[in-house]
Amino acid sequence: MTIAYTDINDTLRRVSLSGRLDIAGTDAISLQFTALTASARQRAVVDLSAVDFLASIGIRAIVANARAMQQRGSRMVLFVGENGPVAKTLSTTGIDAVIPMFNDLAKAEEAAQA
Amino acid sequence: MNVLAHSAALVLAAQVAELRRAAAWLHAEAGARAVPDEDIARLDLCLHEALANVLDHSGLAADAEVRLRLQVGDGSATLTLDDGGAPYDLTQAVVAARPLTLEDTEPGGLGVLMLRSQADQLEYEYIDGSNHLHITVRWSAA
Repeated sequence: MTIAYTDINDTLRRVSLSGRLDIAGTDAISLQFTALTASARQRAVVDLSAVDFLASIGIRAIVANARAMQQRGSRMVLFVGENGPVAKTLSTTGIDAVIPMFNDLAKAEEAAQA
Repeated sequence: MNVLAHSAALVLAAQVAELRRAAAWLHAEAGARAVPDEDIARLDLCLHEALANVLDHSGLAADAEVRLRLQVGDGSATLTLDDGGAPYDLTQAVVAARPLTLEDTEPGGLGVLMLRSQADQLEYEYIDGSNHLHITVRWSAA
């Protein structure tokens, strides 16, 4: 499991996760994920396009950080690209209804900054 | 002539550290029996969520055993988890309601919801002091 970030501009950060977001994978990136979204200047796009396994514990980590951002008046959106299994998991659990999810990166970045 | 058996088995310790070994075993054994990749992925997710539930709810000691068995037939595969922990029927467990807002998104119950949505059939038995969960996925012939 790896985590990386790119500051797109002064108000937007892209946090990219890749690998297996199972119990071990979530444990491995949890602190850094929280730190990166907590320090995002305002908005964040979380890139899940390279996540090849998304377990419930990974979803809980995403939700917890999205909720913390919202409470600070900020916003998280999700980018899944062509990652069908991850998109299906987020849709099945209803998470896509509370954290906006996009296939298109430009649209994700636009929505994050709207 | 090397004929692959229709079933495979693995014994795990009831520890989080064993989850990745279980996943690797599933991918190797199901792949060797020509289970389609997308159906292996469904079983993988079910296995992870079911094992996580066993570790959370069974009360098993870390050195207790959890037994896995994979049976592959024509167009279907069934993964069975056996453990000697407290009775816990995942098929009757309360699932998380679909959230309407981030604030009301409940952290619990997601795993059960994911398991039910990925599996084509779930069966549970409690026999002679052991939980037996049978997870089946089915696919169409190519």
